[in-house]
Amino acid sequence: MTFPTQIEIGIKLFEANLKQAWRDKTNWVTAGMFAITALLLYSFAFNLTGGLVRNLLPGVIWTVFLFSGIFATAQSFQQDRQHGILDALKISPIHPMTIYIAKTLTNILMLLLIEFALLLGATILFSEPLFVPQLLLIVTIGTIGYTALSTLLSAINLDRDNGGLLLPVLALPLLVPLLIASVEATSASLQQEASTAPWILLLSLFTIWSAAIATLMFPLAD
Amino acid sequence: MQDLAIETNRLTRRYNGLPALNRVSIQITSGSRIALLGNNGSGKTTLLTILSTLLQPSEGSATILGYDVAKKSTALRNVIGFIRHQPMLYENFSPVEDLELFAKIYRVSDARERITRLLTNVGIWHLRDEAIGTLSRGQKQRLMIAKALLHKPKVLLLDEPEIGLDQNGLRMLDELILMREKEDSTPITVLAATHREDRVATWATGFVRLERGQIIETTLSENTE
Amino acid sequence: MILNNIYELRWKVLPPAAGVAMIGMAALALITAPTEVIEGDVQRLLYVHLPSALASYFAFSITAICSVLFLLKRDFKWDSAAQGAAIVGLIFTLLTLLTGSLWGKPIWGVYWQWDPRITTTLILFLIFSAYLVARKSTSLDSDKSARFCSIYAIIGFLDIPLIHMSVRWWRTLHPQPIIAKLNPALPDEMLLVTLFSVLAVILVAAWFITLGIETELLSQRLLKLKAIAKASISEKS
Repeated sequence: MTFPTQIEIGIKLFEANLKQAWRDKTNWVTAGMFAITALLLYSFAFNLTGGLVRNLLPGVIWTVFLFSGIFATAQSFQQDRQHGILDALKISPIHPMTIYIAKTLTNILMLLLIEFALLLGATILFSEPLFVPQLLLIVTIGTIGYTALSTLLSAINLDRDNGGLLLPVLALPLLVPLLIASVEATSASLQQEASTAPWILLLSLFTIWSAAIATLMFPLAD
Repeated sequence: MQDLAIETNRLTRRYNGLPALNRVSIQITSGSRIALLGNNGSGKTTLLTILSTLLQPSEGSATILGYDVAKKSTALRNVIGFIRHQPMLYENFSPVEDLELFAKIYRVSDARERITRLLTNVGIWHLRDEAIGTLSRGQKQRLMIAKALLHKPKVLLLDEPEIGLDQNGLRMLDELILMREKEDSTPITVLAATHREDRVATWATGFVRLERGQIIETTLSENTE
Repeated sequence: MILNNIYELRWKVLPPAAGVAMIGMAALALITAPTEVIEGDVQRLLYVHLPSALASYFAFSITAICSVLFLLKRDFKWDSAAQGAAIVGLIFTLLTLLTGSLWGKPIWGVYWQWDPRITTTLILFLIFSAYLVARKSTSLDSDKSARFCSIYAIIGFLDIPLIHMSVRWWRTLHPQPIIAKLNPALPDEMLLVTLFSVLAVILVAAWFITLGIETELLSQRLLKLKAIAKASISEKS
């Protein structure tokens, strides 16, 4: 099947995934609620109401994003698996890479919605300018990076015995570079430092690496 | 010599060391309708799943219409239709939406018309806009049949399709298979695993009986170990 | 194939070679090597610490290579080999971290530093522990599990340089008050002992890896035989 055809089909599948995600919002709403709950928890745990906010906030935000994001992407494939949809797609002429990309893009979009909403909320809660273009850019790039990897890892159902904890255990060590780069970039952006740009560059490089490797490896996981 | 629609050569599949399918070699000519018989655990599902490209063989090979199953080429996947007892449906889509998506994936021409006809033929046209999750088991199974026939497959792999269907449903299945044949001039090959041996004579042109992953009885002319 | 023949000889060659080398290493490290001026005898831990680190990279490289071979050839012996090597890698990583800690306490006053190399070593340990846990714990068809874990091992292995780089950049931004140099320039005698120790430990690692691989292969065979036995018993009854 030709490349343009795959793209066409991929777009259709992406639309279908979005429709599906919208109709069965439970997974994503729960992820969003987990994110808010975690943020509140951190607020109490680190006493974020005081002056330490600027220092700790980047770290808090990114750990919240990573945890809720990883759990949410795990769930999204889980449902497809349960309903046999993954199999229906596998026996169809669609290329596995297309299945993966369509799924990942859907996850990225849904997670960005949750994350942007959270940033808006955090802006109000902590009186910090979080909902600004540069930060939103950093969050977008970082989200693409970690979603690419965690979608790949959730493609295979390993979680039956572990209550879903195995996926973060696998994903998080691999995501250390992304976490570091995201937090530093966010921090630099908040302090409006000049070093923001190099961190964004590093983050972008990791994201590209992660997306490329995950896309290439997905067909092998079949 | 007639074309071979399905051919397996010492096809073996092991799960954690134990063979679920053990050196099965069969040759099925185009246009045949072969019943796959055997108890639970005899390897019927394993064989069909490998032929559908969802499972890799541990040893041996299988081809469908000349295409190697292990290579999973697009050409191969375009000609296979698979129905099994677990549905493969988007629970929160309507039948029309699900079929429309797969019509696009399979690049089915005149999709609208075909979907309408198939849904009517399987008897769920009145449910076309309901969420699939609300359909009964039997209705979902009928939808699966429509979906499997959507792209005019030349080889139909069925894993106990009669489960969930009542008498009417069974008759409909037989009719659809026959109708499929009339659609284009190429003969349709059917390999169907079934428990209902009493019905086999009504539709099958031959059978293969498996036990513990091996062929113990068959009407196929050539089968070698 | 030449490689096959060499591999066949492993039981004859590796154990004695490793044994002799270890005795030599012990002698050199404890007796011959000069005492370090500043750090004292504790510094001799270098002769275990550095080789252990190299041995662990060696082992994990084998895991990564075997994982690639498994994905290409789909032969389960490569999957067993990858696992066997991974266990050895974990042992040596742990040894690296422990000797590093023991060395650090008298010298730096702390058991741990967030130095890039140490931190990356810890993450390496986590990644390959996760690899083994995932590979062993799942009740899934071993085919899928093996494929997935091979992919994970490859990605994990490739990620290590990136992890190291990012932690290093992170540390330059957040330097700790104690900055200790690991492995300062070594005088010639120490260098020689170090090199010999590396050789000795790698030999031991190679031997352990072959043991690990063999264990994995046998364990797979045992599982198969058990399954077959169980099946034939239930047939008869």
